[in-house]
Formats: sequence, structure tokens, C-alpha cells
Amino acid sequence: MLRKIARYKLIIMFFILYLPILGVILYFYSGSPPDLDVKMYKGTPIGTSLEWSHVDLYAREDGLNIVRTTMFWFIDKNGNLHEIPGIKALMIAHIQHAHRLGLKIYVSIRPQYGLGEPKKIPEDIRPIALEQLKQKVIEWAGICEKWGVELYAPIQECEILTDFKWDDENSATARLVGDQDITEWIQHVLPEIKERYSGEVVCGGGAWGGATSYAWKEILDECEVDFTGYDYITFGPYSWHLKHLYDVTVEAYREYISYSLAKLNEWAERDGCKGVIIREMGGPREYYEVVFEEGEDTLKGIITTHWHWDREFVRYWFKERLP
Amino acid sequence: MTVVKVLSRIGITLGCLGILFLLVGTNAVIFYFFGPVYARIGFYVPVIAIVLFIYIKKRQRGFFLEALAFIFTLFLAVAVTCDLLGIV
Repeated sequence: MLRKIARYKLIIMFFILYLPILGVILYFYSGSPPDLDVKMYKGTPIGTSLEWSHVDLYAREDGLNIVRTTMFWFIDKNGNLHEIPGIKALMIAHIQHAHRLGLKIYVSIRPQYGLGEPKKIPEDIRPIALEQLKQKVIEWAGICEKWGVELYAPIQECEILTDFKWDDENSATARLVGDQDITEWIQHVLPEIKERYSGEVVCGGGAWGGATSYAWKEILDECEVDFTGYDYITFGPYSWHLKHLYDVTVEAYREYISYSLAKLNEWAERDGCKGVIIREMGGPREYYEVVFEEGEDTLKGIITTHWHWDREFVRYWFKERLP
Repeated sequence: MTVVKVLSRIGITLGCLGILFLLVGTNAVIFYFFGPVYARIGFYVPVIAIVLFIYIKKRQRGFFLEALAFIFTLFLAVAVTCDLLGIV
């Protein structure tokens, strides 16, 4: 017996090492899309292990039914997109992890030019970058279909596709989301996405900057993006900086949110979309409470970054107030 | 088996792992600059060639070649599994 074992020691050793590795791989990459009847998407973005640990423990208990994860590429100065090796595997692990927890998953695409918040891709490299981005977005539509992703945003923030409109150099963050370039690109990629992906497709919209710019009303009024074919329009009224950096009052923020949501719902109705989803929001409670209050009856989804910091409050809204 | 022999074998095994990481690192660079198609070629062709060459060669293999072939075979199996699942 021992002699036989000695004879096949390499093969035995191979399986002793390979099977646990196989087990780990299958664990991380197994999971089926949950059969949830969702009236409204309620969730949080994930990205770090800290956020996952909260999602693992409390997401279902707090009424969450979706998590959003973001795939990104870096755009270099020549307009070429670069992927971090291993990021695709990590993203798929995220998708399957969410499914194992019984949550739906929303994958958004966010190419990164420069550091920090999304910046405009310079005119001279834009055609190269956008062509490569198109290929990536289509490839990811196939990946999302294969792994059963429920919501897919081929572009999370449309700002990169166009020129930003700054109303004042010092007041930062007002950006124009409303330009022919956006319509062209989002409509250009949509047919090929629909060919490969059967889930719901969403598109970023809205005036980012949350009332720090006094041009937000103009931005929204001027917007001429055609969202036809997309299922939802998303909006990210982040508010962390409003109170402390810009001294924007809650009342001003409420006006901004109320006007934005009315406008976005108007676009959604005009273009045959199913509705509007808040893709990220957070900040001081008195600010993001406004979004819950103003969007209670009209929104089709709320994804808040600050859920795990203010669980009691968000649970009340997710479980008791929202459908 | 003497302590020296055990230590030398550990050293040889670590050397083999070093060769593997060198190959994986090179392929990460290929992946970054040229994309997954070239990275696949850059990984599968040399690894399969090395493994086949070592196992098919009839003459007595030393511990180094044995360890190298074993580690490469194991990594090849893991890579094929991941590739079939569509995660790389």
C-alpha cells in the first residue's frame, strides 16, 4: 500500500493541492441570480472589503436588494484604456458574491481620466478613448449577461463625454450633462449592448454637483440627451461637501433635488424609460433625508453610500417607508 | 535525508516558484500593454512546452526539473479552470 502511494505520490500531491484551490475558485465564482420580486431597488455601492463585510452581515436584514459595483479603466495621455490585471476576476467575484447573498447586482462602467472625480477626456484623444471604451462596454455587456447581472450602466457618469460647464472657477463641480456628444455615444453603443445583454440597461444623467453650482437649473433645462432605449436614468446627488465646503442650506438642496427629480422623471417619460434611480448619495443625514422624502413616490431605486454608517435611519426608509 | 538536502530542496522549490512568478509577472505586463489574447499565448505556450518537454524527456530527471514541471502543471490546471469559468 505504502509502496503504491509512493509510486503515485506526485499525482496524489497534485490533487491534494489542486482540489482545495478548485474549491476556493468555485466558491468565489458560484452563485445564481436571486429570484427577487423587486418593486424598488434599494442598495449600496460596494468596493472595499469593509463595505462587503457590512453587506454580508446586514444587507438583507436592512431591506437592501441590490448592490452596485463599478468597473473601471485608466485612460492614458494617448487615449488608450488600461485595465488593472485581475480586476475583471475581482468584479466577477463581486457579482457572484452578491448573488450568493441573495442580492441583485448593478454593474456600472466608469473610465478614469486623471485622478479623483471623472474629468473630461481631452478633445484630441477622445475618439481613440471612446472607441476603445465602446469595445470594453460591449465586452462587458456579454460578461454581465453571462453572470446574470440585473442592471448594467455602460456609462456611470456622462461628464467624461462632454465639456463641463463651470459657472465659477472657485465653486467647482457643476458639470454639464446634456450635450449632443452624449446622445450620440449612448445611442451608438446601445444596439450592440442590447444584442448581448438581456437585463436592464441604465444611463447616468442629472446635474452633478448638488447645488454647489448655481447653474444647475440651467444645466437641467438645457439638457437634450436622448435616453430612448435605456430602462432607467440614474442620478448621483452626493451631498457630503455641501454643508461644510459650500454652505448650501438644506432648503436649497431640497429645491435642487425636487427640481432635478421632476426633470429626470419628465425625461424618463419622454424617452420611454421605466424611471429614475439614485445611483449614489450620501453626506449629512439632513441632506440625504431630503432625497428619500422627495423621491419616495417617484423614484424606482435608491442606492446610498452611507447605509452602513447610518443603518437605523436607512433601514427605517428601506423597510418601512419605501415599497 | 539530511537537513542540508531538505533545505536544498526547499530552496529549489522556491526557485521554481520564482520562475513561475517571473512568468506570471511577464504575462501581467503583456496583459497590460497588449491585452488578454497575447497574455494567453505568452502563458500557455511556454508553460505547456516546458511541462511536455520535461515529462516526455525519458532520461532521469533531477529534483529541479521534477519540481518545475509539477508546479507548472498545477498552475496550468488552475489557469485552465479560471479560463474555462471565464474569470481571466
